[in-house]
Amino acid sequence: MAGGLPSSISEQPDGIPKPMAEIGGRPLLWHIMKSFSQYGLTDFIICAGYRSYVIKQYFLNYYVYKSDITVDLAKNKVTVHNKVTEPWAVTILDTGVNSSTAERVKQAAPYLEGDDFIVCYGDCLSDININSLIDSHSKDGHIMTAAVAKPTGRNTIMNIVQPGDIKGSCIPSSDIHNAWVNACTMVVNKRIFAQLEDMRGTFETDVLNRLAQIHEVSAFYHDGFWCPVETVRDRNHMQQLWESGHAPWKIWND
Amino acid sequence: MKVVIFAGGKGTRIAEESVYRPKPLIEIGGKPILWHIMDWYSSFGYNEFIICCGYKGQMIKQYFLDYYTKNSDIKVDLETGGMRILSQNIEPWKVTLVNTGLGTLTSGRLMRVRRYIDGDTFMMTYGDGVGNIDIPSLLKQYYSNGKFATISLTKPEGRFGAVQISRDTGLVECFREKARGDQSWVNIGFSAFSTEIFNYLGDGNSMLEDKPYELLAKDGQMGAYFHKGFWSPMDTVKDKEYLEGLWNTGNAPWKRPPA
Repeated sequence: MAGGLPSSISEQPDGIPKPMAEIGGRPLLWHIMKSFSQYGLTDFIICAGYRSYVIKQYFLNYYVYKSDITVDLAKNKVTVHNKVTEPWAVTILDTGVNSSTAERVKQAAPYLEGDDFIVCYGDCLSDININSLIDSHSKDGHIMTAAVAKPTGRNTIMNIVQPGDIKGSCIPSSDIHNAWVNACTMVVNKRIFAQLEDMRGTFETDVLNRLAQIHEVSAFYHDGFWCPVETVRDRNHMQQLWESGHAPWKIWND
Repeated sequence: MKVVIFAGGKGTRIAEESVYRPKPLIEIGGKPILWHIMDWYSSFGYNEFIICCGYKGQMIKQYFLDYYTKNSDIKVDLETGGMRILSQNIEPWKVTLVNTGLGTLTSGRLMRVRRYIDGDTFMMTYGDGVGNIDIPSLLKQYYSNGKFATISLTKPEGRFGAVQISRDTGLVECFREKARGDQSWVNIGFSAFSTEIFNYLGDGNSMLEDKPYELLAKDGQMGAYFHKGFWSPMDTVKDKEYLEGLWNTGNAPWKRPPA
């Protein structure tokens, strides 16, 4: 899912899609794809929307960006010296600027192969073990298995017993043992499209609720690292983790 | 002969501009400073460049990839996607763009472009300084020195006006506007190197100007070319405005003389 509105977290003045905000000189989207590729998942469908051409151009020029090149300006000839690239197949769809996430998933349907696919949001980083997530999905046999993680926000949950004179306890949301949030990484079976026919809502709430009603969704508990990258603060934090050399989502070797 | 241009740094002192684009792409009169530097070398017949990219390097690549269409008259047939070039007057430049890493120091960047250097001699300069350095006399100096390296030095324009004060009376005798002669000689790039320099780079973990230059000097292998003409870095927004002002007069010192 990479179609959302412009991001305020990038320093680009003209706005870029949030998944294209850079960490360590590479787009967030690249980091996500690189993690999946470590599990052998290298066939991607990018549901783009806002400024989809920025995403298209990035992948069209990917190996040119990664390789050393010589441009003969007058002949308009490009020589690639050492082709550096990734063995990925990347389909990029323009799924509209204002579409809901459920609508975007529907538009990807014609390009899917096989029974199961993964839906992942282009603005979250994690070290979810994708093999275990897929195993768990196969075992449960439901339409969807959603990875759930501990909330990361700075909000504090207040257990208010008496509103007029606060009594109760205030604890950071991440410390609440039974609070889990959707980690925006879901394994989905193609049977979902029957449920999506009349749906326009968001994938992670409306669709999930409907599946829950018909007992077709399981949770996969992820205790490790998970973080949405929504604000400049989040991005700076990820940048620091990257520079420290201990970014938890970096499960690959250079 | 190849010209190596360092274009990988982050340019933190000109952050107002360099958060959007790498410093060498910051424009003077609608053209990146990198283009101005290349055009100066090109005016002496040096048309082969090796650009050491780093910070936002893909923007530099994109600039040269798009150069042909951006600088030609074109006709696009939207239905077929075909494009016809109506006229073009493009520089005869061959531009090699090399990823030399995000935080790599200059000697490391130089090591990474070695494979693209042919011949025994090459030139090097920084992607953020323009001047009217006489390249043929620089090279003449390099060959007559017979050393591994010859770097250009200049006395930059001072940033502050100087004041002369009388010893006797303690009163101000005269003002001198941004006195140039008071400055010491500084290294401005526009250098000529033998490929022997690669034996001085160690593991590439230092600034070229630190250990490698120190060692070259110790070995008596470092020559100097004194440049008395114009030179200016573009370190700050103020420098950019200054250069932009000079360019707009139509006879900026670093502007290629009319053919």
